[in-house]
Amino acid sequence: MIKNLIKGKETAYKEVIDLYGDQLFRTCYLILRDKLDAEDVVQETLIKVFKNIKNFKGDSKLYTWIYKIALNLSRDILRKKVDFSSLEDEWIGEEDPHFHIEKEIDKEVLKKELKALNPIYYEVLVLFYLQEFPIKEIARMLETSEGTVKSRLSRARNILKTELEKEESLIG
Amino acid sequence: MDKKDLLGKEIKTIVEEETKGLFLSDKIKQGILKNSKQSPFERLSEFLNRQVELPLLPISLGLAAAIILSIIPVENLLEIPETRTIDFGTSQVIVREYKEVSQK
Repeated sequence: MIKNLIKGKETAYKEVIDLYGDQLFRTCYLILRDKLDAEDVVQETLIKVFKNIKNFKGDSKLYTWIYKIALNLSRDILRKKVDFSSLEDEWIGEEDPHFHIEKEIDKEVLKKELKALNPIYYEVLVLFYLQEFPIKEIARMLETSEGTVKSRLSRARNILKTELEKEESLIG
Repeated sequence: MDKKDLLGKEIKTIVEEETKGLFLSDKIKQGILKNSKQSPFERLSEFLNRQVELPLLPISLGLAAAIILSIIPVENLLEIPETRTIDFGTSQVIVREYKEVSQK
């Protein structure tokens, strides 16, 4: 497929759009929380991918490269809305192993807390839970270490658990 | 990291529900295809900016040959033998560097 992309074959472009387009759109929509912004990012990402496919060195999977571009573009949009630097929280810690959720989770509360979550944590949750990407690939997409990805996931889960507990929707 | 614990399952369900029925429109897909084609200017720019690998050895040898030819006269390189004719009565003796002698 990459060879055909380099040759500029439209069938290869269509194949990539069919393969990754919708999932990429959903991911960007969740991160940006705006359909139009998400559409713009997907469009710009795939055009960039097709025009710069010759620069793809093949040292990562094609989808990792595509998501990396999309996530960078999404961050550019988010930076205009949120001060991203203040969210670069390199929290190093472990998730409390004694902190188990034993009862039903109030979905509405969880939805609300997910929306309130810092984008830096939310994007990792989306990539991990919606797309089910391996941590190694997420780290490559975000151009960070696997440790940082794990740390952000733990932090995000801890925040959610704490907030859920506050809302008395769970019993720990 | 556990994807299958209760919290993980709920997060997955919520994000899936939020994006259920969300598809990239045909208009966007067409836009991507249309804008992905390189314009003549982009093609020209790419052509001009392409990396060219030059074979260094043949180029160096060619350049060295050109310099030598411009400095040293061709006659010297080809070593055209000088000849001298000596009239000897009714005969002529042609003297070359190789000392070949021919009689008329």
